[in-house]
Amino acid sequence: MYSLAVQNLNVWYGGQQALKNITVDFPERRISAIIGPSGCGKSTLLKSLNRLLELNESVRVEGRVLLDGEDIYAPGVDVVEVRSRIGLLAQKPFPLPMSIFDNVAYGLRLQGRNKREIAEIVEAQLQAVGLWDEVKDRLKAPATGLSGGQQQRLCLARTLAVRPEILLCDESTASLDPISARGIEELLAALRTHYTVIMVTHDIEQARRLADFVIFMWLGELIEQAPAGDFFDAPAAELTQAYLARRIG
Amino acid sequence: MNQQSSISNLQSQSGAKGEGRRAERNRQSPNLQSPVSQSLRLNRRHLEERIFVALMRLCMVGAAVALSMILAVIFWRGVGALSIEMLTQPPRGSFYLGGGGGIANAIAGSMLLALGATAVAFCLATPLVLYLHAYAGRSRVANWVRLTLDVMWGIPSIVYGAFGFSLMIVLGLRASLLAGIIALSFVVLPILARTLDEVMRMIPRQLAETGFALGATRLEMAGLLLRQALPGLFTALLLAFGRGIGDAASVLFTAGYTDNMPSGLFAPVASLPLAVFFQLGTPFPAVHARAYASALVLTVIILVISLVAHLSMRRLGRHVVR
Repeated sequence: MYSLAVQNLNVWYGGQQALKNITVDFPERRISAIIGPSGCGKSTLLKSLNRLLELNESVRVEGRVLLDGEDIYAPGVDVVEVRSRIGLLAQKPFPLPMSIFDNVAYGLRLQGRNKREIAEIVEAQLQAVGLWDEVKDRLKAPATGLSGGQQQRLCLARTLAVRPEILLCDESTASLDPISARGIEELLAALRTHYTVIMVTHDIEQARRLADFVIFMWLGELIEQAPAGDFFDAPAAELTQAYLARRIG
Repeated sequence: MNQQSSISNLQSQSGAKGEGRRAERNRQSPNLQSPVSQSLRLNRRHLEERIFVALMRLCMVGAAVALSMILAVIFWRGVGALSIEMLTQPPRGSFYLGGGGGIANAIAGSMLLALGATAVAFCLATPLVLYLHAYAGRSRVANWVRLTLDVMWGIPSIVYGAFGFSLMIVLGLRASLLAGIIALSFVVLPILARTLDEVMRMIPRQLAETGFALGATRLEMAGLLLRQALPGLFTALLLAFGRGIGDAASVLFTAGYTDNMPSGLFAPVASLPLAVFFQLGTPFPAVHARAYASALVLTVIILVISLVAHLSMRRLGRHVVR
């Protein structure tokens, strides 16, 4: 239904090229994992998909990112609209400086929903991420009082509340304890029937557990992209084989 | 002998020339130093640390002693003259000769001047700083604005007083509360703006990313910045108020001085620093004591406000992400 594709994407930070001619077609309603060693450009690629990259002033982007066939970098595109269609779950949970309820309601209020609607969606999303029973008695308490794992689930609820079409996850379990991380993984796995999920991870095992489609990057270049089964069982590129065998990276 | 050589090692290592020699020695035999000389060296390093920690503590104690001495002198010389009458009544005719009355006019005047100036500066500084952080980023304009504010911070307040005085002539204003507030806002504005600027610089970049990813416009993101900066904003306001209430030079010509209680925006007002100044200028010991009492009142006001701000910061900060 919604599809995201990258065509000939090049990104420079100042004079240094961070992404080199990337072309990918992310399958809809699947989990795509972008893997590779630190500094290979995976986060850059992810942030170029919702134009968060341009918050960095020295960055230059060339190429096209097609959301439903339309280039989000084309002149005249409303970046606020693009971003509200593409959700982001960051590496570190980052509650907004407000209450638990307000955190989930924030994006909905921006959209101008009415109070009753907001209350319903907030409850539904908190239930969907398994947080409702833990917080229903303290919705007005500061979100900073939650544990790391709870905060990340809250962030997921907040992201999903605005009904994005695509969900970007930037190493979203990396800063969590193993049990919380597993919880987030299970939530992501369940989301794939409704969302196109694109995740960055440095954890090969996590990609193996979750991904339907895998993209391997190395020094800003896309080395290999394939369905997860093919990718892990029969990697084509030598670099991929070496990386999966942990000889490099 | 061993210690001697380890000292000279230390010295030679610190110079650029020493690098080559050390590298050479390491190449010849990596673990040349005997355990004995190593332990001597370690002793020396511990001694070094003890000396420097002692020096740092001495500096700390020095600063604390200076502050306590100032407080002690003001307290000792002023507390005797302090009375309810002093705090609640304006001066009577013979006040500066040792007669009755108090400094209520100056207390009220100073509070109004500092509050007014802080409010004016707040109204200018907050949008300015939010613009810098939500729109201007690290652009050339932002750098120029910061430089301008830094220069403004450095300008002595008597210059603002003189400028305010010429401004009054142009506007046809007389020495008044309003003119004092205007001149004092120039003193307070850069303090408030740059402090708030530094507070906002400490805000993690992720806050902006989170807001934008949820579909916020830049203005809506600025609202998030402000929420996150709330405790810092409070501190900045406090700093500005403290600086404002203590400033004498900018209000000298602009607010004037009067023995009456403040009676409106267009009437002159008294201020505590000038009250101290005028009372110290008399030849009477009883009035001198009142000068110290006035200084004590000024100091206590600042201390109380600091304390209140400190306590309320915690409450304001409960939502803030650290």
